[in-house]
Amino acid sequence: MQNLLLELRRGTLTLSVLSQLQEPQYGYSLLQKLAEKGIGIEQNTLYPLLRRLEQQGLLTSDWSIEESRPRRYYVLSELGRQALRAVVDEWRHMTRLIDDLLNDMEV
Amino acid sequence: MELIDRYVSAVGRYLPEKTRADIEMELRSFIMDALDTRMQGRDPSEDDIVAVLHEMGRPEEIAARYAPVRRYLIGPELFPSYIAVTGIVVVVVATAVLIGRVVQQTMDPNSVGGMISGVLVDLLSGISSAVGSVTLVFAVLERFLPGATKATANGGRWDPRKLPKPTLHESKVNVGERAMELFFVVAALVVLNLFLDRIGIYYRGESGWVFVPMLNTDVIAFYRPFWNVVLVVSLVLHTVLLNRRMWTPATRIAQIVVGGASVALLLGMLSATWIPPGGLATLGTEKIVADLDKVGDWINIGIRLGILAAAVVCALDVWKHVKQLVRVTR
Repeated sequence: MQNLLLELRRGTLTLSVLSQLQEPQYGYSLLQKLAEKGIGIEQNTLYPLLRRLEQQGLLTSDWSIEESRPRRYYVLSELGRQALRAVVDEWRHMTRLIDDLLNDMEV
Repeated sequence: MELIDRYVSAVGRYLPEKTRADIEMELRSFIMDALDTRMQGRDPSEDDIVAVLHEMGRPEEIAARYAPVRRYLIGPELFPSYIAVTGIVVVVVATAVLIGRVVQQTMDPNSVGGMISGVLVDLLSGISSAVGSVTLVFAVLERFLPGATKATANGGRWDPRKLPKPTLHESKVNVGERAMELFFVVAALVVLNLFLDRIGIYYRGESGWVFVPMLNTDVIAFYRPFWNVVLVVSLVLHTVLLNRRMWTPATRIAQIVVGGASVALLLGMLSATWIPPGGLATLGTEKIVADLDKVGDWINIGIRLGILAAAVVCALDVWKHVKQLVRVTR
């Protein structure tokens, strides 16, 4: 059962991350922002995910050296914004359908 | 902070050089942020640093998550066949080594200690080189066989029109039969290259055991390279068939070529003289040399009959594959 729950959560991670990158964030600030909203993501999962999304052209990144230490800031690219809109539409559509299914279900 | 340097460097060891410096810098920045949050302005102790690094995970796990595609020497498609073939090869080599050593022990029964250490050394070197060779063959197959792994790596593009037609009954590979043939091919390779020169008559003379090779070494030396080529091609073919689980026109043609080559070699070997006149002469006195030559002639006839039988079996197998090839492609 634990695997089912993990799989379900894993499927939503990309959407969660994309949704929080409309403004530039560095990795650790993003991790905390997600944690504050109840989305737990392991740190060793987040950075590789950010890199993959960047390789897919959904994010852009820049190093900032203005703070106490160099930090890499990630933000949605134009392609990423379009992808986010599409994924959000699909998510809302799916949740409506799934809610209907679950409401008919007798537990 | 030395621990952080060591950790970041340990992750970097598993990363491609192109991205290593960038990922290391980002990882270090992340660890420092995590440490700052944990310490709330206090100086971190070694235990604090260790706790943060533990939360990050093992260096090799972190590095593996950065890898764009899982890198395999032998991928999941070929892995079951690799394990099966390795198991067969290990059993064949171990059996061959043990038989060889038992024969040697029979000739020299005084060195039991030497036999045990010899067996261990032979097993170790024989099995490791055999497993190494099998691994090499499969690693090459992994790179050059078109398979699902590569299709996925290329973005999952595929064409339904290129899928094979539904498997006909005669196109299905009988896995048990293939595995058995694979076993015999490996056994033949081992015997051909390690033991063929040792087939002969062993007897105890005045100064200990004497070995009289029965088979004509010139004939063996002539045919050995040809058989090695045929057997290695056959080994690869059986491996591919075990992996694909179905016959295609290409594998059917390859099987016909291998079978045809085997028949040709066997027919060539029919005319060879396996035990030359006088080959058994050292077994007896001058008076019975003529009788020993007769024995040699009978053994020659026996060997030729065996070769002829093998040629007929191979030819029937070739004919079976030709018929099935014609039926499938018609």
